[in-house]
Amino acid sequence: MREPVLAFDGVRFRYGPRAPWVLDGVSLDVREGEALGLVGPNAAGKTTILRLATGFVRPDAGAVRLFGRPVAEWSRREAARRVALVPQEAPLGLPFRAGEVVLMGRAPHLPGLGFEGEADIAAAAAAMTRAGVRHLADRPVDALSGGERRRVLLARALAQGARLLLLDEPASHLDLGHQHALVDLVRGLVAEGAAVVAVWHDLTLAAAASDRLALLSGGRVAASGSPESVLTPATIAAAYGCEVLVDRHPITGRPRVTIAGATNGRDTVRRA
Amino acid sequence: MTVLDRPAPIVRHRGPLPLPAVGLAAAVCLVCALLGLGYGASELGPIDVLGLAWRAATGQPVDALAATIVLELRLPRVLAAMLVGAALAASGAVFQGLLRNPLADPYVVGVSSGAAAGAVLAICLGATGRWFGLPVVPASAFAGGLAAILVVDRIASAAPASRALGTVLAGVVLSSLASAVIMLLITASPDPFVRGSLVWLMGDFGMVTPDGLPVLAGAVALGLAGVYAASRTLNLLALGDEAAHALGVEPGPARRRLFVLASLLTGVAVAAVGVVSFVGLIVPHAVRFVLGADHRRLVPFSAAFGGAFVVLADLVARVVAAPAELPIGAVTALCGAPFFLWLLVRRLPHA
Repeated sequence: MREPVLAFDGVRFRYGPRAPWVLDGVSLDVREGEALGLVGPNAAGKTTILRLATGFVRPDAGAVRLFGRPVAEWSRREAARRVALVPQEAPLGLPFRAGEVVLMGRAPHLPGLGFEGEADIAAAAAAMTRAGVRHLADRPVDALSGGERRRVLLARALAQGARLLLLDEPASHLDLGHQHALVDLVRGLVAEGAAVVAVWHDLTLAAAASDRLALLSGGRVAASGSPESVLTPATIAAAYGCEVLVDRHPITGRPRVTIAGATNGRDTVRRA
Repeated sequence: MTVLDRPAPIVRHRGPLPLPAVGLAAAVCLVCALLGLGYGASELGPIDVLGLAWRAATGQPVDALAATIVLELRLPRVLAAMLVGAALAASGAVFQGLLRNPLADPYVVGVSSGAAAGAVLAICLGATGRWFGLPVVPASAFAGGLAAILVVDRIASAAPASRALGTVLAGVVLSSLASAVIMLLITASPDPFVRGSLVWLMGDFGMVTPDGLPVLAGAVALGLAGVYAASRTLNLLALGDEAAHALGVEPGPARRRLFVLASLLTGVAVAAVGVVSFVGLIVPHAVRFVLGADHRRLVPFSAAFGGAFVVLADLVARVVAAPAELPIGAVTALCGAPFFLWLLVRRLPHA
């Protein structure tokens, strides 16, 4: 069995000493050539898992390992060559052009004061083509639509050339066609041997893009395994407080989740 | 595939410094310096200055009085103006990038006033010399400016959603506080010279002495080199702390390092000539409009054009009401304040 690219072992985390636990004993791992989907209700700790994986925040207990080494032992630049992140939001304010933002994905590969060379430009151009934003290169990012901006950030992560990609709600703001392209892109990356950890809100998309799912609820992994085993009406009702139908996608055969009606209001969902 | 089919390059500018812009910046700086040297209280004009320089260069005898006026009165002032302008414009570019806020500038975020309060405090305490070899007034100005930006950044970080607005509001309040402290110190000072001087609040190149130039030049060179070395990091920080972290930068230390450098630049500029407002706002904006947002170009060109801009503003301050002199800060505020309001109105829906 190959060494996991990313492994969480009994991780507990909270934002401050008196805050409630965001993660309360989470264990999971992902290997090369595998896509792990993180699903679960709002505030279940999905984004926090990605922040722990990059080392942006440190666990209060338990261990987070990247390529077998504790996250804290990696130098920032070394880690950034192996792990790329598409954050949920990108603060704007300065009128960088999309091409410049994608090229910044090459930063961890450049020497201290260096400028990007031909290889970096080529990598950034290829990443933009792959994310479908090549034509936006000369547009200021603050003038792009939400979905276009998501795809520019995706291109930046691809340009980074990392073996582990962390995607925080990559499908948000994307239209139907681009959601489909995103799933294809994730499957393509996995086929090339990359590891992908992605947060999804749409369970059908999560099932289509992921080899395994981890359903988080109240800071714990409520269910994990193949999409078929995780996405059952019972587990979904327990986590989301919402009744669903689960059937098979007529073409791909993967689970398809349809909302059937709420059994109880969201506010009554018990949170740990 | 024909040339027309080939996709456009993904970035417009490659490499550090586009040569036409370097040439233009150098020419603008030279012309502004010549104008600055060529006008003043005496009749000596730019042509006379050029002639003087030519005779000196070719070893012909030169008029001693004219040489004294140019070399000892005008040259220190032009050099100081260029250094102060470069320092303020570069630190403006840094604050705009770090705070991800195009409204930021050393004056708007309260660093200039904090630095002025630091300088005035040192002067009122009589600490105008050196302490362990460090010139106390610029050092105290640097500390005041750094304290101001750390407070403003802490306040603005508390409400990330309205960070742009929070920065500006906290900066304005801190500026008023620092100005009040300055007023208090000046009024309470037993020294009649200090008591009479409100120059700290509006800037005055009459304060420049040739002895102060080496400290100013050294600190500005150090600050500019440090900021230029960190300019790619500044690009990444402008994308957000989490993105910068994922791209290989430890955001906390990098931000603190840049705050220190920008406060150093602003502090020594303020210690030399008082508060010169809005230079750090206007100049980086104009440069960004032409050359784009990449700090590797923005920082050096802002420094060059900032220097030229302040030399011109000082010239205006000297000639517009001659023989009286306007405070330099009044000239830059007359240009900068309307520009700031225009930016604010344009950005309000997004802020």
